[in-house]
Order: sequence, then structure tokens, then C-alpha cells
Amino acid sequence: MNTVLLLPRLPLIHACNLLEEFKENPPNPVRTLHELQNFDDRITYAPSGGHRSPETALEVADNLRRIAMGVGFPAEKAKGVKTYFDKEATKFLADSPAFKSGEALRDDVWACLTFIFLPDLVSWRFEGYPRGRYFGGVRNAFQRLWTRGVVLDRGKGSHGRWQLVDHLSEDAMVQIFERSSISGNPRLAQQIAEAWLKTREHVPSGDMENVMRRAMKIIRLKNEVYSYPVLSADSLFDEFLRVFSKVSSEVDIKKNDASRHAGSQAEGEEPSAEAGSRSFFSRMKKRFTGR
Amino acid sequence: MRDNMAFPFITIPDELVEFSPWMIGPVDEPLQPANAIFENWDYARDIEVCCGLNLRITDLSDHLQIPLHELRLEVVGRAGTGKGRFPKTVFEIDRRDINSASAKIEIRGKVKGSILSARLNLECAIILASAPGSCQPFSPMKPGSRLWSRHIDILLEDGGDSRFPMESVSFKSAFPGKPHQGAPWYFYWYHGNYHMDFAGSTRLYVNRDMARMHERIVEGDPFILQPVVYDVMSQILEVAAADDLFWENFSEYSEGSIGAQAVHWLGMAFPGKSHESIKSLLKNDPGCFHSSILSVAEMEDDQ
Repeated sequence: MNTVLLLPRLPLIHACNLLEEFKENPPNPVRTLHELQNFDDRITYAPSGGHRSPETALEVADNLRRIAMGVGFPAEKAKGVKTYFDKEATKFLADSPAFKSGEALRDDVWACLTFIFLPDLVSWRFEGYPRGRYFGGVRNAFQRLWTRGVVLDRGKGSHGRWQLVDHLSEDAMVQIFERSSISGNPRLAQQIAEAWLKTREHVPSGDMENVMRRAMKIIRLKNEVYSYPVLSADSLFDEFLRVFSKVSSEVDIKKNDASRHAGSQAEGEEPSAEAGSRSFFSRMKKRFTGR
Repeated sequence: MRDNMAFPFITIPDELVEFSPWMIGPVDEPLQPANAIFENWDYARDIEVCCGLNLRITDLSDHLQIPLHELRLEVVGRAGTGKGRFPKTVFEIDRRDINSASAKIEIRGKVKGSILSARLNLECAIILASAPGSCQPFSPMKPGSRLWSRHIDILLEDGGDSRFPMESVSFKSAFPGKPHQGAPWYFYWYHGNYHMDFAGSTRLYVNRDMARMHERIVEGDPFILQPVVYDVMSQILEVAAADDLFWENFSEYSEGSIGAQAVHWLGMAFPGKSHESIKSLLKNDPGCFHSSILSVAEMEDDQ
């Protein structure tokens, strides 16, 4: 059995204080084990069950920094560059042996990575020190990428292994991964992503956000009464594709209705409710003002 | 329309399931009844779990109104782990067909200690395995329909990470020079996303430097706990009630989220009130808004 690498943890209370300090003095990332000693009074480890490995955390940080520098960190600040960094970092984190244990499920482990080892990288990726990006949790700058990576990975050797990571929009990612009842079930979350990708082939990209939000509402509701995670990946894909298909046709119908109403008003036909209320106010105005 | 709806269907009542509760223990050691806390766990300790069900499939067939020869059921055991009310990851540990007239089924699985974290959530569920050819209108028809389930949530390690997030600390050491250094308690919560897990994104710090107050909180003195609970509730409810985003998603918060907790508390403090009247109360009579919360934050006095 492989020994679990015990990673440094930063308790929430110290994270709160560090964020306050960052706002006054720009953070200095810890780059060596010697520098890490400055945080001995704040960093903790699991008391037993593995091997303490601060060097693993340093190595992960070095690799993430290298990926970032490859895309132009710290000078380059274009949004597309940061999105590209996210995708590459997602693949790296999902594959990293450091996060193959229960340590990866701990918020304080990720908080340590952001606050202690990579605060400069986080402030480059998310300006203004938004605390959700530093604290452990679904929005943590790196924890969210790790979760996406392990769930969306189609597996080593599979065709298009990282296709979902590369092609899902940020909005779709948020819809899936900021809902713990969904993201905690890897097969469920992955098949929603697969259905999203398939749907995108025939739905205009401008409609996908609306389609995704509506589909997620239905899927989350149904997941309360049906045990989706016990179904096979194929069954889930078929089920979700049906939901996406239904929702996209409704979105399409609504758009057509809206454009038909616009057209019909121009032709002097029955007005829409909104137009109706406007004409009501016009009539009232006329009644009181005589104009 | 069907794809957008979850139609009601008959489920299996507890009376038809003889359940032998979950047992747990280190692998290769005798299992013990699972309690709220599993002591002395660490990553190096793999865990074995099991539970049992005794069923009469004819009774289930009658109750679900599905002919016996068309009824296909499965028992599925799943485990989840990760701090918070929602497990961060869930995986299957065992699955059995119910295929004999009087079925005695055991769900058993080994879980690697190295992949666990903070808690172990176990679920045993009976689900519909395939759609019956013929049935009654309210019979379950969709594969995966959850017909019966039992959960248990077990804290691993010392359990402290998974209970209500509360911690005793010296504020002089933890918050030196901060405005709240002299406060008896400090409730930290991450606002901005009501879908976040309540236990994972909030924490109540109790000031150990204020010895008398600290002692009364730890002892559970209801006169002290009421303002503490009120403070926790009101901080969340004041922000949520004034936030249009919170109301927009009012009916969608999943169990265990900050949003669901806020919805529950609003129901307690303002029963039967509409969104608009609660918002209006906060704006026009904040004293009444806060006192309403204070009145339901009352703790029972056992003395």
C-alpha cells in the first residue's frame, strides 16, 4: 500500500488573518522548506496515517507556477490567457499523485496551497483578493480545478481524454461544480457535461447558458426522487440528453414566440401582454389628460 | 412535458423492510454497530462496512402494484466522504439483485482508508432496476426510482471537523489587534454563494480569554446560547433577506447548504410570511425583524 503524503493544512482562523494581511502587504509566496518554517505556528498536519510531505506541496506549487509562466504569468493578464491556464492546471492537478488521497477533499489543504505557496498566482488569476478564491471550498482557485479535472477526466488512454475540460464553458462548469449534490457524484456530473457538449453541437452558443440553467434545475429536482448515480453512464447520458433536448426546444420556442410577437405588433395584430399594459396606460393617460 | 417532471410514485414503507443496521470496523477485525463517531481512524486504516435487509418480494410486489414476474429490484450500498453536510465524493460499495421470494440480502464493502476524509456517509437503498411491462398509475416505472433508503453519517478522526463548526480559541492570539479581539464570540461565514455547504463555509469562534462566558457557552447555558444562536441566525438572515439573488433561488437550495438553512430559519421566524413582507419588515421595522429571530433562537432550559 502506498503511504499517504500528508500535506500541510492551514486552519480557517489563520486564513482569515492572512487575507487581511494581504490587503495591506502584497503576499510573499513560500518557495522553500526554510521559508515554510515561518508558518510553523499556523500550519498543521494529520497527526498520523501517512508521511508528512511539505515538499510535495512545494513541488505542486512549482509546477503550477511553471504552467502559469508558460502562458505569460505575471505580466500577461488577458482573460483568454487565464482561461488557458485554468485548463492546463486542471489537467495537471487531476493527474497529480499528491491529490490521490483524502487530503484532496480537505479545504484546509487547498487553503494552504493558495495562502502560503501560491498567493501571488491567485492574485494574478483573480484580482482584488476575493476570499472565496483563497479559502478552501468549491471556489478555491485550485481546488475547483482539481475537482473539475478528476470528474471530467475520461480516463488515461481514452479518446479525447480532456475534451470536456477543454470545451465546457465556465458557466457550465459553475452550474455543475458549485452544486455539491451534483459534483459529489462523479458519474452524474461527467454525464451532465457530456450531454452539455453534445447539445452544444446544435444549439447556438448564446442560448447555452439559458439551456444549461434550465436543464440543471430539472436534473437536480429529479435527482431527489431518482437515484441517478446508480444508473449506468450510458443511461445517464441518454436521460440528460433528453432533458437538454427538451429544454433547448422550449428555449427555441420562446425565442420564436418573442420574434413572432414583435412581427405581429408591427402588422397590427393582437399585442403581447407587455404591449397590452402599455396601451392600457396610454388609455388611462388619455382619460385623465384628454391627450 | 414528461422529461421536465418527476411524477409521484409509490415507495416502500419501513414496515416492509427488516433492516439490520450498519456495522463498521477495521478490515479483518470483527465489525461493531456503527455509531455517530468512528474513533481512531486515519488514512492507514481501511474500513469494512455491512448492513442487511430481509424482504418478502411478494409483499413488495403487492404494495408497489407491479406483477411479481415483472418486478426487478436492486439493493445498492453507497459511501460518501469529505467534510460538510454533503459528501465531497460518493462511490458505490456493493449492489445486489432481489431475486428470491424471501430475500435476505447483505450489503458489504471495504473502503480504502487513504481515500476517506473527515466523515463516512453510508446509504443503503432499494431501487427499481428496470421498467415493468405493466403496472398501476402510481407504481414506480423509471429505472433508478428510489423506493426506500437508510443513511448514516459517521464522523471520522475526532469528528470535530464535521459537527457544527465551532471552535474555542484565544482571541488575543488568534485575532491580535483586530476590532473583534474583545468579543465573546465571532461567527465567520462566507457569503455570496448560498449554495455552499453550511458546515464547510461557516465557523463559530468562542473566545477562550473570557473564561466565565466561555465556560457557560461550553456548558450549554441556555441564557447564553440564545444570543449566540440568534447572532448566527441573524447574520445570515439579514444578508439573505435583503439579497434579491437569495430570493430568486429560494426553492432550489439543496439540503445542507447555507441557502437551505436560511430558508428553514426564515420559516421558523416568520411563519406564513411572503418574501415581500419579510423584506419589507427588515427595511421598515428592523427591530421587529431581529426580535422575531431572537424569539425562535430560544434554547430549551432543561434545569
